[in-house]
Amino acid sequence: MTDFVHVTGMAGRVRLQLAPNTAAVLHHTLTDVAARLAGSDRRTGIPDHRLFPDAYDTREPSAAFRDRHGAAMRAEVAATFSRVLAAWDGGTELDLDLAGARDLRLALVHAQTVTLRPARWKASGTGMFAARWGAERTAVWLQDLESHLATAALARDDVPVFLEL
Amino acid sequence: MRTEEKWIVRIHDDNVNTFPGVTLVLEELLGWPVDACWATAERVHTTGSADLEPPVSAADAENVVAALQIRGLRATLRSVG
Repeated sequence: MTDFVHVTGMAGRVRLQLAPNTAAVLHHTLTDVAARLAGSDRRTGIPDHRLFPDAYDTREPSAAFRDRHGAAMRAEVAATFSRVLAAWDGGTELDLDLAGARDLRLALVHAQTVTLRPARWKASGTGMFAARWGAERTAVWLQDLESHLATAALARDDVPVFLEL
Repeated sequence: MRTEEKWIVRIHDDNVNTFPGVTLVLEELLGWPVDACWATAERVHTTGSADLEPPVSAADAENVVAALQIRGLRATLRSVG
């Protein structure tokens, strides 16, 4: 079975056509990350310091920033995953308006967290040296799909942009 | 943190965010034209970071940094006095 995603952007809308297996794997990945965001399990959960970088150059104000904003930031990321999964049941076609495309992009970005050993922003790349064992292809694939999706979302006129993964 | 201080938001380069991704985020949050957002994304990539002008209050800068980080970008803030 061939895995693929066809991404078409035009006039601020994005259409994704996925192979059945690709759709199933992506839906499972996003569902798994959504559960980790909501969970409190120290082993599988995603702590704030893995989701968001320090906001200041030094530790103390960065910790204070997390105290002020961290919960709301996590809640917004979790809410975005919920919107994405509520709008998509894992089927092979997605037709997204600009807000939907931005939501899916955000989910694809944060989904990379569970595939990388260091925090996303510290990764030396999404290749084999930064990815968790067994997640090398997923890390690269999520990044490539995010790039394609964002490129398609930036197509605002009536000339279609077509990308394939 | 003195409230009268002005603060600059800085976006940092990394190996996971992509040009179109950064451009899409900047367009959404700052309302800039796509070309300007793309140029900023290029500046982040080529110089390692880009500052968002003009300086703003601490509260506003923190809100922008939070919004950028929610969308996956590495953003920090620093005082410019």
